[in-house]
Amino acid sequence: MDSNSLDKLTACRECDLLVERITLVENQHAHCPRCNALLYIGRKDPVNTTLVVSISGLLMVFPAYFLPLMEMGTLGLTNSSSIFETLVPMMSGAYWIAAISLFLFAILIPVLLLLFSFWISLHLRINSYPNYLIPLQRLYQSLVSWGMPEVYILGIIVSLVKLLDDFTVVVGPGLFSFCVMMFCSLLVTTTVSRQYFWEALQHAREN
Amino acid sequence: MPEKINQEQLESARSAGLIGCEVCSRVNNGDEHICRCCGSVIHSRIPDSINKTWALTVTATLLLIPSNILPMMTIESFGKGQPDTIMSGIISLFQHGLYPIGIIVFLASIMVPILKIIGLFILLISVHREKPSGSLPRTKLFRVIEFFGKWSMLDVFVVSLLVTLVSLGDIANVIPGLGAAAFCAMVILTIFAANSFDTRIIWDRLEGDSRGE
Repeated sequence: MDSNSLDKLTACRECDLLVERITLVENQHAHCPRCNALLYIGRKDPVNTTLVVSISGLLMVFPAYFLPLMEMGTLGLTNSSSIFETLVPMMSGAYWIAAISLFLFAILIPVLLLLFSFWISLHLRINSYPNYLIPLQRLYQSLVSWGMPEVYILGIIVSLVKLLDDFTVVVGPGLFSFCVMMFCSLLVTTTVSRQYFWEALQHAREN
Repeated sequence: MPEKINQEQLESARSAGLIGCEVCSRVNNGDEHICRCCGSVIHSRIPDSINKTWALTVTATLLLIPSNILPMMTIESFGKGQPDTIMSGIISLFQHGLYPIGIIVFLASIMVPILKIIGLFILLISVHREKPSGSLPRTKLFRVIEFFGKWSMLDVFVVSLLVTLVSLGDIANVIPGLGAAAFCAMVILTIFAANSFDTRIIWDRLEGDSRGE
């Protein structure tokens, strides 16, 4: 088949069914008629919303990582830690696997998702398509499923409740910034439109 | 779903001699190896999908034992402290009256890993059977496995946080245990297992497609 007639089709990612590609209006979802998998979503103004959300998240990166997360103490002794300091004691011994997964899934990947989606949307906004944009979008798409900011936030809540039983805990400014950043990182995965990216790219190539 | 679909009329990309790209969802001709739109390596089905998933799931099952027997962490107070496994940690949460948190940790650390591994085994065994049960329920099972998998990381994150925050010299300390490392490895392996399972294989038999890999 030639590429024009191939472009009219899409294959379901979950059951391999050939489905005709249709143009969606805002907030419409296209599902596979056989397995009901989500094929693509018609997003409302994906470029500008992604820019807004990713910039807000990126502004919070510095305070989130370097300001104290919380301060806890008992009998007059206190100890406060920022997110980065939580990695240091785990790096010794066999716990490196826990430390590395904490660093990757809860700290590095959420920031990379913000950074990549910002950079890609910025280029879509100014209609510039440098060669590295395709590998960047591919990397972004493969990282989405490895970001676990929501799990880490629940982890913070669980630790707080455990600590409150025996210690006095004062929540620091880092925690607030961190939650905002994580929320933006979650939100950005719902504002980015993959469909929009690949179509804009193809459109740019043809012209 | 809105209406009943006649399975006979539907054609998969593979039986039409085409390959769908998983990255940009474009359709390619069957003799291509690189997607013409995004340049990703494309496969009609993930190569060795079932064997890879078997290997990863069995390894994860074995790691389930040390991660439940070995201590996750030791909370030391004034030089004394008892190592806590996952289960004893949950029991002590209940004894302190922290029921909601206890239930959350129980779901994330005990229920989700065990149900996820059982689910993966069900999917793997069903692929080998002559007459497997419905494709749609099995695809739904896979979606549930994929969605809840990452929540098991909760306990690993909690241990890491407590180790750092509770370091008050002689008064109170939290020391990580080997169980945390085993548990973390187990969760990561199950995520890899789910990622290497190709759900398109579930639907292949339905079309009587016997062309093999």
